Amino acid sequence: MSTFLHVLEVVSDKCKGRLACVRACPTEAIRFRNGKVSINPMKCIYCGDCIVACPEGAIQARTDPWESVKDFEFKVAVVSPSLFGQFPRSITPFDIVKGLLAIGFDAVYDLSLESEIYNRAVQDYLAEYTGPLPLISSNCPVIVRLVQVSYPDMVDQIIPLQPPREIGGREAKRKYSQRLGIPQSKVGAIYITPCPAKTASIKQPAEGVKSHLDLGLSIRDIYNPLLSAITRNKKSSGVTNPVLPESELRSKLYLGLALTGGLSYALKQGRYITVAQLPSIIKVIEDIEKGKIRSIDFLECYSCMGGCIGGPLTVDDLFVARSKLEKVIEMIGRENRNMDEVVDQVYVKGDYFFEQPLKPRHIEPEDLSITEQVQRVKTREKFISMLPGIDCALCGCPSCSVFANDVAGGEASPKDCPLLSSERLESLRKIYKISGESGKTDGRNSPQEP
Amino acid sequence: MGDEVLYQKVFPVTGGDFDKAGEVSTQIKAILKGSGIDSTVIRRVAIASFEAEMNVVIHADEGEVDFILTPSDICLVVSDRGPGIEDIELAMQEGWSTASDDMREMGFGAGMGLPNIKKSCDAFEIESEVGKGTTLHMVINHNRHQP
Repeated sequence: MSTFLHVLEVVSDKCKGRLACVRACPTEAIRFRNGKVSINPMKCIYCGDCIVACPEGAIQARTDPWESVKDFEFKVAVVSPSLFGQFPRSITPFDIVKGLLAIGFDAVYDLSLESEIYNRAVQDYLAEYTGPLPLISSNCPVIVRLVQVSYPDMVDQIIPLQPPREIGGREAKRKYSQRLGIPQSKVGAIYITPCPAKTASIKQPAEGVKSHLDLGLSIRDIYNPLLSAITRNKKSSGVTNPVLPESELRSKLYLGLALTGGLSYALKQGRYITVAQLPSIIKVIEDIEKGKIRSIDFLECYSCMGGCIGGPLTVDDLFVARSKLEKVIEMIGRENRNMDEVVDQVYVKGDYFFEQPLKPRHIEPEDLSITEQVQRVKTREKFISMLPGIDCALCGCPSCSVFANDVAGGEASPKDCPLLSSERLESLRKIYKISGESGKTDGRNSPQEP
Repeated sequence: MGDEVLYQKVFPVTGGDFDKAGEVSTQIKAILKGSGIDSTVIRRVAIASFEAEMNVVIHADEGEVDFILTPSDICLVVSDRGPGIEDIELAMQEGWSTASDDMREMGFGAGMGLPNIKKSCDAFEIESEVGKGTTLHMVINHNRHQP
């Protein structure tokens, strides 16, 4: 049995009630109640931290399956740069591109030009922008959603430009539908994603219009067939491929966008900071909001440690993958290709904005008077002083503070705390099959409803 | 009705404690969020209370933030036992600062604190006595919809 939440799926049969997801969620959206994990869809920002945290693999990303690719007459892979760090060092980006063609894609769309275009568009935007600073990068969909949900007043500070993958999806569809004389709808722009958030951003784009990409396939799902195809290719051809295909992957910037600092480095902006991982990002945004952090023009944010290369749906160890990708970037650097002239030819100023303005995603306020709400705040404060403050999560909330909130809001009962209620302790012993003074183990090991 | 106190709390502020600076502002923000106050209003309160709190940390030995929530307004009274302000008119000008060189090196003392506070508030008053201390009275109307 499973509950579907956009792109995250809790597989109840696998869940053993370890509470790792409850503790890991940066937006405190997860609870464990009555033996079940539930994710609040309004608070979830699809970061995937819960997927990584769960030792049982009970939270899975609902990215698109390979079967759905077959619906398209012409299948174009639009690839996250993080993919190029996932293979052994002997496998070059060119090998990977050939491998993608071997497993069934008709073309691999190179985002080099789009990355350079995005960079140019961001520079143009920064130069003319006069609103409140800092501006916030738009390439990580988790951050866009975080701002929409939790910092509605800062929505206008997100750079309203489509990220390279979206610009690329648009171009890929235009290019191949023209070349092949088929409608754009028959050209599938299929993003190979390191995270569930980008699949979510295809299914429900932040700005509320249709995405230029059609599907989001996870790196994890295609990794094994892709690796086999690459190995077969290499064996049969017997020749060592060059690092880069001719006229492909010309841009260091494209691959650099998978790494923290990739964009800021390219922008050559003096006053930028790069922040990764949500607890740090939330702290920085809070400090910006109250004016503690100032004199920053540009904030480059990634939900994942190290950038997209550390995405929850990647395969290789983050640090190893990063090192490999940096090596490839270095090799491209040696080839010293200058993209500026190419960008000059195709760049259309103003053509890369979001098609609709970003709007806050308000969590519906409850229909309470201010007196009632303040009363809740007071109840919460009073109750929190009764709690141990050890954040054990055995009540099913990530912390005593969140538990107090839930109790004040009527979503939890004070009796859910095992230190306040011996009944709760008893029922927890049953859930986790712990034989206490009166409990007996029954030999099973999945959680039971008390 | 308008003057009824829904919530009141006094937060102490320690002069020179840059590590903890900003925590009062964070706590006030959480209370307002829990009370369903509009996010734009919360941001103004956060800016005003943070700047006022920083003034205490930078200039005074100790002080406190008295936070009051009424059905129509948010009131902050920030008082400190510090050097006081000699010329309030001058202190209210953008760019004017008496922060020490040490403080400036740490990135404070841009002379925007008081002007920023005033901008964020619907009503603002300042009283100061040299050698004794300074008290700021700030009021921000929260216009919360009453169901």
